[in-house]
Amino acid sequence: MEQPGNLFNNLASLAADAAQRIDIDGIAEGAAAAGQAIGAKADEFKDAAVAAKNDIADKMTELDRMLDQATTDYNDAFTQMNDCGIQLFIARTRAQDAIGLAKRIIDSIASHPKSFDTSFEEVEQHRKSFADTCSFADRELHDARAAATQAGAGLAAGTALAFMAPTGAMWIATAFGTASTGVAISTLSGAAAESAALAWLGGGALAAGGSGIAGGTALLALAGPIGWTAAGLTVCSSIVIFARNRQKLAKQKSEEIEALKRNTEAVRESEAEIASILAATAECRDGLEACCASCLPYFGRNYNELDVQAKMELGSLVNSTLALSELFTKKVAQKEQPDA
Amino acid sequence: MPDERSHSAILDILSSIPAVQELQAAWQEFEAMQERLAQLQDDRGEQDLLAIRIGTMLVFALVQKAAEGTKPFDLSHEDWEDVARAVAEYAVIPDGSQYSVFIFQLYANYIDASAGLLEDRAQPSSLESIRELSSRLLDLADSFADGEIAESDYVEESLWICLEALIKLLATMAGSLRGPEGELVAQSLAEMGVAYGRMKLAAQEQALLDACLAAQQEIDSTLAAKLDQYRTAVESEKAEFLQLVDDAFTAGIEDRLKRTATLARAAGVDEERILDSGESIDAYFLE
Repeated sequence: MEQPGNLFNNLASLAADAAQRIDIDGIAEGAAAAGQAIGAKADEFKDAAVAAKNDIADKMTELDRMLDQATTDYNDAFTQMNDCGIQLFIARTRAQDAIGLAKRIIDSIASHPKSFDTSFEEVEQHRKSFADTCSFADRELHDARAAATQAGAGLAAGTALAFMAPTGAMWIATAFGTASTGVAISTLSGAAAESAALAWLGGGALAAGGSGIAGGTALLALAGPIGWTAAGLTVCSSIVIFARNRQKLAKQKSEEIEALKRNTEAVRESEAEIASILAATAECRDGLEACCASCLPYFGRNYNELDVQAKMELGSLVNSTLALSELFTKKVAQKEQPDA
Repeated sequence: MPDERSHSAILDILSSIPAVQELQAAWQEFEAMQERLAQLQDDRGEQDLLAIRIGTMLVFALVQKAAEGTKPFDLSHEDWEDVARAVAEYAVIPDGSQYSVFIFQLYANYIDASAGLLEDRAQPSSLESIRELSSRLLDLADSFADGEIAESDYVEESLWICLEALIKLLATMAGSLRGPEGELVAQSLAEMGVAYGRMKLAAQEQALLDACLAAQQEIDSTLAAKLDQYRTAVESEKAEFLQLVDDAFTAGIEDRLKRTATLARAAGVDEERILDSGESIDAYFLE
């Protein structure tokens, strides 16, 4: 990024130096045409700047739209994952009932009570918070007001510079060589030279008094080459910093959108995993309930009096119960969710 | 053409004058202040901005007093009340947007007054083009007040107008030393310089935005592919497991033991707990 001082100095030097170096006498007749040609070029650059500004506005709007969409997508994905998590909770609670029934059947036949672990943790993931378009708009507004504030502060500082250091500032006036009266300052002497230089710096207006700060003599003290240079440097600095901050904001907005998208993808992966566990749990539970139904006739019977087929069915009941119980231990891996 | 030898001789003489050193010191202080302001602007604190505004109006008020003949150390109680009133009226009471409008109105007055200083040396057309910029600043403030433009656009546009006016003032003054033709060319060069600078900055911002938007498209395709791949893998595992569940509970009694054992294994049950034979069933129920 161009440094404010360099940009301003380059622009001011371009204008002032070009004026100094052009052989006006040689092109006096063509000066009007030269001015028009340069003016036409200036118009060309202005049109290009306006077109660029409109394009920038469109692209910033597109970024805002993307941020809004990414936020909506993330919230939707999170809600869906959450809903799926609730369904899994419900399915596991029902599965606990099925396991409870199977255990009662098994315990009524087995010599000793059997244990099946039916504890489970609720699937829980934390919703992340992200900056939305409003917070970026607030920051953009703050940057704009900061730029205006800095422009004002520079004007005040330049006023102090020009006003409080009048003797030091006079060399600028003498370097340009002429006073407002048209008489070269260098030909004046003593008080006349000082007042001519002060007049050039706006010192003449100081004596006229003013009406408050808004139109006051304090500001007029800044009117002159020192003041224009100081104010120009200030404004240039404000412009460059404002532009830099806006670019930084655009980059941050883009990074926020990326973080939202990555987190949305991670949440959707989690949802797919939860849905898979849910389907497995539901199907296993249905199967176990069917097994329980077919083993119910053996409730409370003496194991040794059961035939081979009954024992096989009871063995299947145990395996089914173990399988369903094991599904409770399935946890959804916390996906890597990059911070915004 | 200016004689470069005499030009540098003048600079040598000037730089030996104590007053020049005084100005240089004051200028360095001004530039240091600019850097501090720039850092504060990055800080993003509302309190910092308020402090800058108070400082700004304090300086204006004190310089105003000095212009009226009272130096800061000689201010009376009434003078300080005036200063405090000015600070409150212009820096503390207005909100952020009102303060911005006030600053650019100051600039509009300043530019107009500066054009007045050049009346005896510059062409009327040059002064008119500078005064037009001052009027544009005031018109912009009206447009902002009417809600026709957003605040950040208002500030940005106003800054560029101020820059163009200040550079034109310098160029007009320098160019007027070469007569009307010099002034015309200088003004045109000033306008071109500012327009060029603006175009370059805008181009920089455009390039950044293009890169951001292109990056978003790439992220979209990468993430879509990743999710697709993950879902396919999960679906495949789920389908396999559900097939085992189906096999286990639709099998005949003879195969059911074997298939429920397979199901339990697939679910992750420890092998030693799984019942896969008559003997293991007997041991489970009788021990």
